[in-house]
Amino acid sequence: MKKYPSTQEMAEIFPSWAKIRNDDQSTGYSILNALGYHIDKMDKTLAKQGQNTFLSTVNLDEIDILHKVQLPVDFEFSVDNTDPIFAVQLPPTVSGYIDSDAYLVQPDRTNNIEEFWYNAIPNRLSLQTTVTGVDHNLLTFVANDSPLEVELEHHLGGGYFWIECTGGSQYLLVENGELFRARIILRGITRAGLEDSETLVFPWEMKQRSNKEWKVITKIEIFDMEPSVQVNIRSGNFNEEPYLDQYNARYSNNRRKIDSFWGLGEVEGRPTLDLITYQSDEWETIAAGFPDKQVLQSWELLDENNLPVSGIDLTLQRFSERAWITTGNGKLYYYDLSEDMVSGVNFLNGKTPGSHINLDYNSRYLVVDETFTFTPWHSRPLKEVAKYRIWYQAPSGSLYGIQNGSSVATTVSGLAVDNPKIWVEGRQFARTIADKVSVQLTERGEYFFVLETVFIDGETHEERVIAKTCYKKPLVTLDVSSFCPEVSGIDFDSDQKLWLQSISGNYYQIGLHYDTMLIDYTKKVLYFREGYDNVDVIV
Amino acid sequence: MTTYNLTPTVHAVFNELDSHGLLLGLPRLVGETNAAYKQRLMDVMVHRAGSSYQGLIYGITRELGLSITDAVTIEPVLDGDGIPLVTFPAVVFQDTKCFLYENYITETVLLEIDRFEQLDGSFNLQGLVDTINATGMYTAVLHGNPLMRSLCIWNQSSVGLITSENISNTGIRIRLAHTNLVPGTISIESPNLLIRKSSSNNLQSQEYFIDETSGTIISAQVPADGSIVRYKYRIDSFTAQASPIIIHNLQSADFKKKMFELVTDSDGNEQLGLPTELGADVINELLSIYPTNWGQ
Repeated sequence: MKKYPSTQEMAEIFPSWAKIRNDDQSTGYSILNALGYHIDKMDKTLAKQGQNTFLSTVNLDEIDILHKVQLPVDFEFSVDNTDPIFAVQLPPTVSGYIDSDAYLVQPDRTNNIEEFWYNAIPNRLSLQTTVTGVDHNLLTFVANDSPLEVELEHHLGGGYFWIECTGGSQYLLVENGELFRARIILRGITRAGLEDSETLVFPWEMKQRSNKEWKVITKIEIFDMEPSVQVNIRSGNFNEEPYLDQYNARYSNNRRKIDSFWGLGEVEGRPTLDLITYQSDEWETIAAGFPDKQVLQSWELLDENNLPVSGIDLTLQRFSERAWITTGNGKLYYYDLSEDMVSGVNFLNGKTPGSHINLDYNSRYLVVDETFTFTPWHSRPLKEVAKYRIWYQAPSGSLYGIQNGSSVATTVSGLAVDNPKIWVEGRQFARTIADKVSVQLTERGEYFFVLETVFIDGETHEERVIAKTCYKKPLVTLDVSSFCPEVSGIDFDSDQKLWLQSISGNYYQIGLHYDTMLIDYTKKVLYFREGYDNVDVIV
Repeated sequence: MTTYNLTPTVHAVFNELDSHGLLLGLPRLVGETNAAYKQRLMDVMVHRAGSSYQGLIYGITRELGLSITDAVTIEPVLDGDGIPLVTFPAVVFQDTKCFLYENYITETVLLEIDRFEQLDGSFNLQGLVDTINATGMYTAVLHGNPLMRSLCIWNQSSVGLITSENISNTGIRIRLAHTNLVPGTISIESPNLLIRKSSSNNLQSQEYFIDETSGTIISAQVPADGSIVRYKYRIDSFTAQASPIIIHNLQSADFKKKMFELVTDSDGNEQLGLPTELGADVINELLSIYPTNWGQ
């Protein structure tokens, strides 16, 4: 099940010490997450509708043009009568033809518009346009050079510009009670052909997209910015990680709205997709000159065959939770960015409610070959511990015990859980039940860790935690090596069209195609996304 | 097993962009994608449609899903001191012609280019550019499709008109927004101070002097509230725009001659006869869009 940002927002209702607020494996959090689906959908729909209110921010991926065929009156769908009470009409076999090339058209599994259009996955691509002799990297200068008379033309003839400020210490200043904000004013001709200007405020070191689409920037003015700040102007967003999340709806567990970003990284030599945030969740701290970022969670990037995907760049699809990642050898991978709840809920059922013990750790969502380190902790020391044992189950199902509750990460394979060898006897009243335990997670999936403690009165408490090695497999993999064998970057333009940049500096617009159909069984109409010259419907 | 061979048709689904289209009075064209439709909708705010010559071109171009493009950039050739070789350069596209001026002030034409005649060498943009470059007094750089008809450049000129520029309380040395003003086109309206134009900057009370080249007005007094100036000015780097929509006034004598053969009547006056080859071509093109019966 997906984990929704709105779940954390709801969990903030509870006190800061409550497990529901701090532990996404708690029962309460799971219950909230069930509601989170609907709230998340509402949040995102409202965000999208809000942007659709204005022409400049409207979603160009809204459903617009379909192609349909009206089946003849005498056409009858095949029927599946397996269920004697409810007969099911079956989709016909359909082939679409474009310039005599045939494409098998698959029926949408759910046969609804959301899956047919908004959540559809392309099954092929084509080269639409090639642009050469231009560069999206336009200008780098220091703030002290302002004002600048320039002639910065968008490399595609018109669209958004990206402005990045680096090297400053503080961008917001209060002097004598007056607030000074670092600002950059762009002047020029908009894509629509209008002389216009736009002011961008930089509260801290960051990259911003212009709100207007520009054809050419003719003047850049900077106000209230440290003279040594380096300003970079680009008309594309290739190879400029990290990228701001499209909905950017996450909250910290301190009830603060936080910015989240996506980037590519490496953990234990494995290529990863990283969810990144600022180190501080307080904007005041960031604005005070501490805009450093940290990786919140990493997912190992895999292809369909579980082989690593060494991405060189990624781009986020607008109004979606999906990203395209490209490798240098001309492959495009389409990934879902959603976070997941743990699936081993049945295992967590064995936890002792209100347990006096717990496992203290920094992170339990890791990547294969990372080490899960924890300390068995007597969090509510009301009575002495008589004995304890620690064991875990790997994703493959194998059980392991921590021998002697050792401080060294010694796992003994083949020990049955009931094996007395892994029980550690001896009365103790310390907060630290055992020294730090480190276990290298070598399999992909969920590890079930258990700390069982028997107190001197014979009462047994169990703490259960799921540590997970996270990975993502692509929704689809497409090949562009035939026309762009050496990709250097990937980006969506202001028309929400996908572009690749090659090492040689050429730009390629990619057309994504969806050979899928929606069926109106009642009216006998087939709807397609692709504009086929004609279709063969076989029944 | 039965196979049906069918031809799909376009089916538009109403979305938020269509809502914007309703507000702006610009419906989606058949099969038009969101991205293309958005650009047309944005264009409504920039190229305002209306019943004027320019408004019709903007409106019709947009509504048909066509686009306005930069066609050619024309500049006067300069001498070593940066002075144009011609006395006062100007380029004017008017009706069927393109005029290159030797001196716009005295209306001395350097070259009159006929953009309608296929055999005159300036029928398409490439031909027009070659013709202009051949003068040696002007240079032209092509932006658009070289095979585009040069008559797609609508009526426009390299002489700009400022109908009202405010000069109230701007000091006694007033820098206007433009340089290279066209002598004889400047008029000042001031409630109390600027009354007489002086031929030198040795000014008496209520006099003013104009330096056309630098676009400067020197006044004996600071212009009072409500002082405005109207003038024409020269654009030396002039980019002519074009649209596939060509609007001509059927009453224009120049245009009539291109569309119809001229026949001399019994009184010796020229009358319009049958359509010319070009006229027939244009009429057929019109009829292909909106079939009707000729003459009805």
